[in-house]
Amino acid sequence: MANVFEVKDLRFRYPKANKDVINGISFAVKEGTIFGLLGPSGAGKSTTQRILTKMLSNYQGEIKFQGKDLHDYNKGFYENVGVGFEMPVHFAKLSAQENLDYFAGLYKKNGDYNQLLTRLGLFEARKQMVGEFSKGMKVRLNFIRALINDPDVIFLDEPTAGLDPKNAKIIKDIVLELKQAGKTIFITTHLMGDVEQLCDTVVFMKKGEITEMNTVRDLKMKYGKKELTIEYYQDSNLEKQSFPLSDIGSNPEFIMLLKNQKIETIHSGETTLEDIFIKVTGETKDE
Amino acid sequence: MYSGEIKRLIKYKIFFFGILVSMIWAVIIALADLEAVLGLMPFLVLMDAGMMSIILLGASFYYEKQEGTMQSIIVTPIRLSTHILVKVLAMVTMGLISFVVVIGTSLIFHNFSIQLLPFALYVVVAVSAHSAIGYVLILYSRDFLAMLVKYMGVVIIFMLPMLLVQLDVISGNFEFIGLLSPTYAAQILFQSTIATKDPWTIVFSLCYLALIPAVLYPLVIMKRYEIVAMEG
Repeated sequence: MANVFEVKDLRFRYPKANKDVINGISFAVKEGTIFGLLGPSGAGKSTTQRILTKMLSNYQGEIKFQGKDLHDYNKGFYENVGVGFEMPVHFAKLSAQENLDYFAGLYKKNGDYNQLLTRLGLFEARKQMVGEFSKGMKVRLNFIRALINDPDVIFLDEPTAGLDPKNAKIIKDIVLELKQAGKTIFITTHLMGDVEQLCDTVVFMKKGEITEMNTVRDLKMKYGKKELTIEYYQDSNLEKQSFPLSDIGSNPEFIMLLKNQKIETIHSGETTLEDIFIKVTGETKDE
Repeated sequence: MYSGEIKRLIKYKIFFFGILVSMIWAVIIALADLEAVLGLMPFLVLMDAGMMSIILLGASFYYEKQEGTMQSIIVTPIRLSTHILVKVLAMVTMGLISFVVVIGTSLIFHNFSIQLLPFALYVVVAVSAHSAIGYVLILYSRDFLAMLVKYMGVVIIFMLPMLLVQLDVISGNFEFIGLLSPTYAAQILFQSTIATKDPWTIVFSLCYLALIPAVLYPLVIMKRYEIVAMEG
């Protein structure tokens, strides 16, 4: 798989700041994958995304987009890139349909946004003013706006924040379908559940630096305990015992326990992304 | 994009208020006598094409800023220059509508001769110049209120030469000082369509008004607009 983005030693400082907010980060985003950028507030996630979407340009280091220097792209870059913002970005006094028609008119090609409106439960409300929409409806409309040009590269900032589980699942399903269709998706989120379900590769950032970069599976392997914990009843008491995974098949104590006790639960020592987040960034995720 | 912008201005009632003001001018013109109309008409068109365009542009801009749509437009293939041009064209459209309403009413209720095409051209030039000045005020103001405060200062500075000429405080060769006010320069152009004016004064006013957007858009507005739009 080719790299959509190749970032080398990226540094960035805002004009009036006295220090860099991005301190020499390097990473690559493979085509047809979902790439998650995580970290506490102020870690540099949004700045990184704004640089990759060409909203900030005076950076140092090298960024290649589809093999070509990002600086060399003009506004045509956006014909094939979709950007979903966390905050609502719609004309409040226009209807959802009018908003989408307006933005669709700015691109050469368009996706089937009526189908997305239907799928995300907004078709009936498409003629309603966006200013009257609930927060969740605006989030869903933001998502459709990001896909309006049927882009191959999609940036999503907190795509399911503020959504009920049903609509969050619809968005996650669509994101996975987009990946299946070969699209590359770049997600920034605080919701570790989304990361776990969606992302192929995860980058953790802290104070402008990358503290960890790996696949979700490998991160769990790296930070999890390679053991199995069994809860079982013995003399009406709930007991718990852990066994190392390395020799579990030949561990007589484990086999005896399975044979002779009433097993209540079995858990692997797999850790959660939330725990990994805290470990690698040294902060709770809401900080 | 132009039709989208016009639709947006209609939905946000910015267009409505622009036309409402023109209608008020039309009523005044209908009730006034010919002498008053000939004095008032260029001034009323100037109010709409010049000063009102700054206010309406500000209202349109701060709505967009508040709603975050600027960022959403920045990440589209539309060039910033096109985006700004569309907004200026929308203001020019409003200026021309005002021109049609005010001049149309004047011609319906009063009998006088006027050079319509030059007047329409001068409206376009006046709106472009005042929109450029409006953008500078907008882009260097934190919010609409701060912009209005600066706007009031600009109104005083721009209107002062007109007042001083009217009161004969500046006259003769010194009238050129007054022409440094874009509003006064536009007033001279408008007046020239119904009365004889010195050709050099007309040429100077026209060039001066054309020069304002030609300088301000590439050197100041484009750069600053991008920064403000990125900030969201």
